[in-house]
Amino acid sequence: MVRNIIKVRNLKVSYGNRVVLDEININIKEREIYTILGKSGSGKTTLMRAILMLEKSKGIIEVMGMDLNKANREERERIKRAYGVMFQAASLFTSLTIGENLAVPLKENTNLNNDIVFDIVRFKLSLVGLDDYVFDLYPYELSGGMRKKAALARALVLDPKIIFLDEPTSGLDPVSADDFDRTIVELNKLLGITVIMITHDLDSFFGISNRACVIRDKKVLAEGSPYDIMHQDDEWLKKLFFGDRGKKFTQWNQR
Amino acid sequence: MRLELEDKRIKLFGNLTYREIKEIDRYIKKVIFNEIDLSNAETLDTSFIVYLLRTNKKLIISEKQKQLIKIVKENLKNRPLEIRKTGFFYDVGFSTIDKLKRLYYFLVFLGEIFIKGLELILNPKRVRFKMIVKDVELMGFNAIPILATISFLIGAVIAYHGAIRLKQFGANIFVVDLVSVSVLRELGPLIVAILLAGRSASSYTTQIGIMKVTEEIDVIKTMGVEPFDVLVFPKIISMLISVPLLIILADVSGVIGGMVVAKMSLGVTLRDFILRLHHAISIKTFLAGILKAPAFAFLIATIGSFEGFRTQKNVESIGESVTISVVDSIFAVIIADAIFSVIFRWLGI
Repeated sequence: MVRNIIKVRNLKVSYGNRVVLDEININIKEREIYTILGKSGSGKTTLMRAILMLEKSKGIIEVMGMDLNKANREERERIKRAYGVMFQAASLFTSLTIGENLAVPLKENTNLNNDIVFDIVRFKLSLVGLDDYVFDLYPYELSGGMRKKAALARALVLDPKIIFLDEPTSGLDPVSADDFDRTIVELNKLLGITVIMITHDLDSFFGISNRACVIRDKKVLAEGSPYDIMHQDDEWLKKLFFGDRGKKFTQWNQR
Repeated sequence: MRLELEDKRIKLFGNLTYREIKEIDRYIKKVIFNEIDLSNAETLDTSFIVYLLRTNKKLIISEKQKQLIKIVKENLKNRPLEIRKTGFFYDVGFSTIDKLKRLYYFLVFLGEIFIKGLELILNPKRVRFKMIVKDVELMGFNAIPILATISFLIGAVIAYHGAIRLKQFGANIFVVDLVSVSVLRELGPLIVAILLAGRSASSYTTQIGIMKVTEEIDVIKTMGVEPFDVLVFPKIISMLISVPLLIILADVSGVIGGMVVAKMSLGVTLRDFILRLHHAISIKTFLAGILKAPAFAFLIATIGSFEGFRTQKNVESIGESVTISVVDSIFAVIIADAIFSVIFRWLGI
């Protein structure tokens, strides 16, 4: 049986008196592509931020066998080094070039020479399908798709075990989105990285994810394969898969 | 990580990740070897492989590691990296040209203000009264407490320093001339201008700069609205309203500061002070200060907005623009003040 790399039990997150997530239980297995689905504002990003230790939470979040809410600072730092994160807005440092952006994690964690760092950076850029010429460019000089790829490359710099993607394909055209999906699958296969992503993109959802969970009304509505999730008895999910947009999607797929 | 050297072959055990590169780098430089054996490694990451491939030595690998190394080899670039490098003379030349360009663009900006200002006067409907009132509140009205405090203290300090000398000559009453003339002619307007250069110019630059970064200015343009109508003219007009009023406040508050000190340390009564004030200053003294107001107002508002429009699309550039805008507007205000002094001397005011 495949080991659970992340195990969440009875997780509760609240901002002041407002409870955002309650009694969340999910299992994420090693080397899988796991999707978090849910309405806008249902707390998907909050769940991700809780696992990333950016949000205070109650309950158990076990990452690689370590409970984050009980771990000490050193252990938390070690877990953080196993994480790679790509935020929704790509969030590259705008005042640094792409090369310098990717070099930041390496320079912060090691004292390697520049030429080794640059070689590693160029390798990671090539891994996500970016050419050498972007090395010297600033984020605002790149297109949205390239910026997202650069952000993905930065998330990969330290060879993370788990990579978090917040709406990786939002704002991309379908071709770029496909390209991005392919890159994610390749990385997942080649490097054995566990991928956790938040997405509304049905193509990504059916195309690349192995398992998924649906967050609804602060709780986990369902967890399982995309096929299981599609056949859940829930109004929002039915609207998602069989509503106007979803229908077109299935119609097109049948043609 | 653990290292073993055996027949010119380095054997590696344990974790081989980016954190161990420095260690092996140090080790490799000390020993002579032909091969590196990775097959006993527990974990191996791509950064480490990038490093090993750079050494150009033979790698002995296990079946499991084969694929990972293949991926790295496929993506590794052999060409040296080309990074733009610039020399000293290039930098000097570049920044000189850049400064000249900035001046040129500022003149262009002034020209635009002139032409669009004429258009605005011909179509008074386009004037945004609400925005002007709002800006007067933010930049003028809200500055009253700090301005009143500063100018009160400046007036008091001048009177206090003068008091020691004047007492020696028994010329106590002339503290009135000292305070009123210096505050009304020079210090009042200058304090207002410098305070607003720090307070308003910076806020104008940030507002327009961030709007440029978030492409809000382009949105305004596509709506068929002239950005200057919304972003520049309300600021200029609001400054033209606020600065003279604030200068009057600074004058009054500064003289009151002098009055208090005169009473306390020189024994000049309030009655004497005010009577003397009539002789010390005339309407000319007041005008010499207040006439500077439109120029200061215009400089602060235009430099603040200009730097905002010059902002590039990155975070650092906003900080840079704000710094330049504050420094430049203070500089411009002081230069303008010097020019006014010369002109007033010629005119005999």
